[in-house]
Amino acid sequence: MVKPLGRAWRAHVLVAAAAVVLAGCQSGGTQVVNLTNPEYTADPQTGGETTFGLDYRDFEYSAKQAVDSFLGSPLSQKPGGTAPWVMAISRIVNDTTLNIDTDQLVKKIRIALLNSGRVVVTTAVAAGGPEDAMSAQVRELQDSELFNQDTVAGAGTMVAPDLSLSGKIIQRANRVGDRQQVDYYFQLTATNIETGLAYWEFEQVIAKLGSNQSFTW
Amino acid sequence: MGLDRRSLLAGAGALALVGCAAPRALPPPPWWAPYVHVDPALTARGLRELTVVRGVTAGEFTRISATWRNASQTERLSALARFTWFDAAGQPVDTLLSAWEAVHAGPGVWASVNGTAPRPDVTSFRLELVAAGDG
Repeated sequence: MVKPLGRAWRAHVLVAAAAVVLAGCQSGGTQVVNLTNPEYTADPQTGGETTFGLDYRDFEYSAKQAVDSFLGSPLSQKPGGTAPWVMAISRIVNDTTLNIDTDQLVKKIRIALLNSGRVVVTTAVAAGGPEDAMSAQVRELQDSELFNQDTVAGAGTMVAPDLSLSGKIIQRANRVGDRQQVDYYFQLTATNIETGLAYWEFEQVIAKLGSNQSFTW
Repeated sequence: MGLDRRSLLAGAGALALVGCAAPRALPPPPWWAPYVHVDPALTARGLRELTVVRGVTAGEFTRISATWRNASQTERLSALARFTWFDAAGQPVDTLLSAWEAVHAGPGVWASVNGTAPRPDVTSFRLELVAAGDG
């Protein structure tokens, strides 16, 4: 025969049950899974927790895939010699609700391409104005008597770009049952400026699935 | 005739015994064995038939492809892979292309990971395959 629980015991059981339910809600409600690369992490000993937004691992992963793709492309080597491509950075559009500095992606790619010896990026020409205006401004010193003219950069010495890098980061959200999936598309194109033809195309999708309670906006 | 049938049989038996006792020649290790480290936990979970192929891209970068099979019929096999690239002086090259990457194989399924050298002057590499958290 089962003895009915006393009033004090019943209260303990209720409190314990409530604690279990609350704990369950907290962990399940905020967990977000990166579907593209669930265990992706800089250190395999650490956890793979992520957010609905984009963190450094997403940029690092996408940049790595982009560089791998570019170096694997037949056109990673400039035709007709060993001189590197000169690349200008065009518009990289942030079409997401996140406040992203697209240099988080582009800078990693630039470093890897420069170190490959196959691409040099010009900072004197870029969409919306030069990244570094000094290359042009220093030419104004050509009329200055204060400067040794042998040390002033002359006319006709800057190198025009061969390639232009443009791209877009797109965000799409979909409801999956009682959960939400957010997909990010990293799209990049290298255009041969002489011909206007796209020499290299790249797309990487980062997909994240989590509770509706965890919003990115 | 000097040799009778019994002597011939005894000689043949002795030769057969010597043949059995001699150690069998093991197949030579694959060329990539010194360059690839596989976490024993991955082998225990079902990693089999690992092969590594070395090639060169059209842009003359070394490219390494590793392929394996998940022999488990019930469990997914998750691995983290990382390439380290070495220059002619034997120094590791600091590069984005050495980041860890997760690779998954469903039960009985093949998986692969590819790595491209960050520079044309890379002379060697190391591939690490370690078990990821969820097995």
